[in-house]
Amino acid sequence: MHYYLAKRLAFMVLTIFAASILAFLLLHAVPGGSAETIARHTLVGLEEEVSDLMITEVSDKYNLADPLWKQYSDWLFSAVFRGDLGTSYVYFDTPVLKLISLALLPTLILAGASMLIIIVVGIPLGIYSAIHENRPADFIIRCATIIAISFPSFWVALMLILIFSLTMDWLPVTGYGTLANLILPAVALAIHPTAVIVRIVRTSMLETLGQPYITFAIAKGLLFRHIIWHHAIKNALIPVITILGLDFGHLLAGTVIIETIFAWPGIGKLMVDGVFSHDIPVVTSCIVVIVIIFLFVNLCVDMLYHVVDPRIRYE
Amino acid sequence: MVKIKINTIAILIALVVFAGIVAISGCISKEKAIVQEGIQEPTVKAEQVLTQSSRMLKFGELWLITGYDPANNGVFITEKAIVTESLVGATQDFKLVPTLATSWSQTSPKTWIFTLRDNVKFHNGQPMTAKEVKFSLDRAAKLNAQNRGFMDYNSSRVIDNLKIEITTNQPNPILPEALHYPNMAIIHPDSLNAQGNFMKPIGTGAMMFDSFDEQTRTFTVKKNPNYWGGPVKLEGMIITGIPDSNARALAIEKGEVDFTVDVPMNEADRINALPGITVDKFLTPRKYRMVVNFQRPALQDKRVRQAISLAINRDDIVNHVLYNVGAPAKGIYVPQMAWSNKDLDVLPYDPAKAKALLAEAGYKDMNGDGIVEKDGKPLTIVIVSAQERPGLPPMSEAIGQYLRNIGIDSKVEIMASAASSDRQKSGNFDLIMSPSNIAMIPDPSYIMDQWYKTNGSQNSGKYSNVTLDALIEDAKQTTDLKERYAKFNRIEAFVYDELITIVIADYGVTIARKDTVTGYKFDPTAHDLRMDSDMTVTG
Repeated sequence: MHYYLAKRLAFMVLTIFAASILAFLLLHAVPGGSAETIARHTLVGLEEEVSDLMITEVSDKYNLADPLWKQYSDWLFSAVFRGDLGTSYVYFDTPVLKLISLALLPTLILAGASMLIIIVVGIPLGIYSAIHENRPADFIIRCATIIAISFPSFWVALMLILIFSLTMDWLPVTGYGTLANLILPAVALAIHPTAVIVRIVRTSMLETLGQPYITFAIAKGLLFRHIIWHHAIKNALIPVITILGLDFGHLLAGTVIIETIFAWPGIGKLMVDGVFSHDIPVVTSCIVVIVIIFLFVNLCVDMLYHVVDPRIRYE
Repeated sequence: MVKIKINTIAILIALVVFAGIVAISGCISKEKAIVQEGIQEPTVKAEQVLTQSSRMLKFGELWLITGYDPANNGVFITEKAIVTESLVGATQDFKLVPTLATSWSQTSPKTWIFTLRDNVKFHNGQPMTAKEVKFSLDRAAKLNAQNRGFMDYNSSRVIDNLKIEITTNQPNPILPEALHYPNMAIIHPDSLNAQGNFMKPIGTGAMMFDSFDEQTRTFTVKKNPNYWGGPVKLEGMIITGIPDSNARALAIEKGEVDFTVDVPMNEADRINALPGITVDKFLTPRKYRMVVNFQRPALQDKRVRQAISLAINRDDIVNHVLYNVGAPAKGIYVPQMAWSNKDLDVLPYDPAKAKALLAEAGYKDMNGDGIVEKDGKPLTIVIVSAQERPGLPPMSEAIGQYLRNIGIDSKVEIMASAASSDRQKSGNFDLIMSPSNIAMIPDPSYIMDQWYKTNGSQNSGKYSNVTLDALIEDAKQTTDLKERYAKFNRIEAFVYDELITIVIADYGVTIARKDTVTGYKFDPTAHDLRMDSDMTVTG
């Protein structure tokens, strides 16, 4: 177990390292000089010409003329040994750590709210669908899940805005800080994974209901409700937890589009804004943070297998 | 088996509880995130204002608010938030007027003396004197190469409380015009902390800094009760950056903002027709133009440039591409500028004449494929355009088609602005679309210097004409306004006729506001727009 954990952690470090290099290099591969783009986003305005003098000044300030390996190793050195992720080029020298700490909470809130929807809506619907297999209710739920899986989340987001904000005038389009602001992005983010969970719960439930011990319970004359609650659900939900864990990682990492549409001040939006303005320390650090979260959640899920089913052992 | 069941349920419950806690914590955590940097009075939190007061204007700004230090973000803090002010102002027709400085004079080729307005107080109650002006200008020049370049700043000297002498490196006849630039705004030294880091803008403007929410990047200002310009009508503003034009349109439609700018051009008329919203269209000092690459032999021939210009129907472009947000160009400057040559008109549309000119220049369709050739080579023109400004890509496509109509093999390449700017720098284009600002400094010399001089910083087409260089320099150094404008009129007529850069249309801006917002006056000298402290919000 300890050996397994150590191995996983070592791989995590390697993955984070590789991700940070990739993010760093990709930003440098984007056409257009970084210094020029940064100057446009901060100093002169997007459509204005940037003088050579200004390019040199910005370049010198952030050492952009240094060779790439040096820029990267400087960043890595201060990140690893000083815990300093650098300062933002675009948000006027605000420490990246501060920007990320401000953005992490909104992302956690959004992912948390979506998770709540997935669990509270997805699991009961899946169970209901399985119990009513091949009846109209099951058919409707299955159709609905296929539709929900097929639509991309950004389209769903726009439709939700159109219906609930513009037509019905129930909820605000953008903003942050109140429950009303949270509903639309959380729903838009949750619809796809909820549909997936419904289908998985249904399949898993049907499989469990076909097990000999369920037949035995029925033969014993137990109440159907009792069989479902005390015997079937608990076993059927084991694979669901795995998926939920992975979903949580995806939700944290995958809020980029939804956050941008709803102007939700999370880490996804911070990163997208950073990409447009060549804010290299911000983007590299955001990617590292997202990768860390994703890997950590994955590791936790793998560890949970053991807790859920002690027969599984890691060596 | 029993153990497994218990664990499963426990984990599920834990997940639900965790998700719930995280979600709920968000709804109560906002308060912590607001950075309050109040100056004198107790500050008001942005979210409280949203619910309590209907008198604060909710302003959906065009760009994300990345900073608010006037030396770098003058366009935001001076023009949008109106917290700080420059020494010099400008009228609707771009003539200079006193603001924080009441008069100025050039005492020698390199020195200027500015007299400051008496009884102006900063937001912290301190009087504005030459000392703070020196501090602000020194700082603006030190921090930003563009500021330094515009002013050609060498140093300044405090003569007395209300007089300051500014020395430039070279004679700079347009120093007062440069001081109109919003980055040269005057702040109190207490805007910086003991370490010299910028903390909050303490200016002299009609609005005072109230708070900045670092999480949502919402900037709040409120009325300055002791404004030197008299009582301020606008209570304050809650400014949020909404960089996407569709999102801005949604926000005004939904009533989430009272005032916003640049809604999508094709949506402007529809939004204007909605009850309770008015969309006005204005011209800004910006031009849609095509930079011509003079390294290309075909484009060195004036007849080819004329043919290109004659092939383009500017009225149709403004009607159908820009949805009338803008106007067909009449000259290099915009008509409302005091120095624009009023005799110049929209360049004509005449495809037949364009074809004749091409034939005269030796370009004829010999093989019947619809494309003209010279010496066996087809006439190919590559039009490069950035995609960021909404008018540019469709305009480039339309121009591409106009050129094909007269037998030019046109290729339109649309790309991100950083990429198009690379192409522009490397000279890898025939024509490049540009939405160029023509009054960063409100003076006719600004674009003449940059676009047409041999070493002009925006002369990426590498046009060179020593006679024109000398004429521009001579006009620039002329101080008598009438004579100066007459000289620039002649230069404008020449470059317009020579088609050194092919201008298409004046740039328009849409201002969308709720009908509850009244009293807004558009300032064409601002870079996007200038907010107006005479506005009122009711209801």
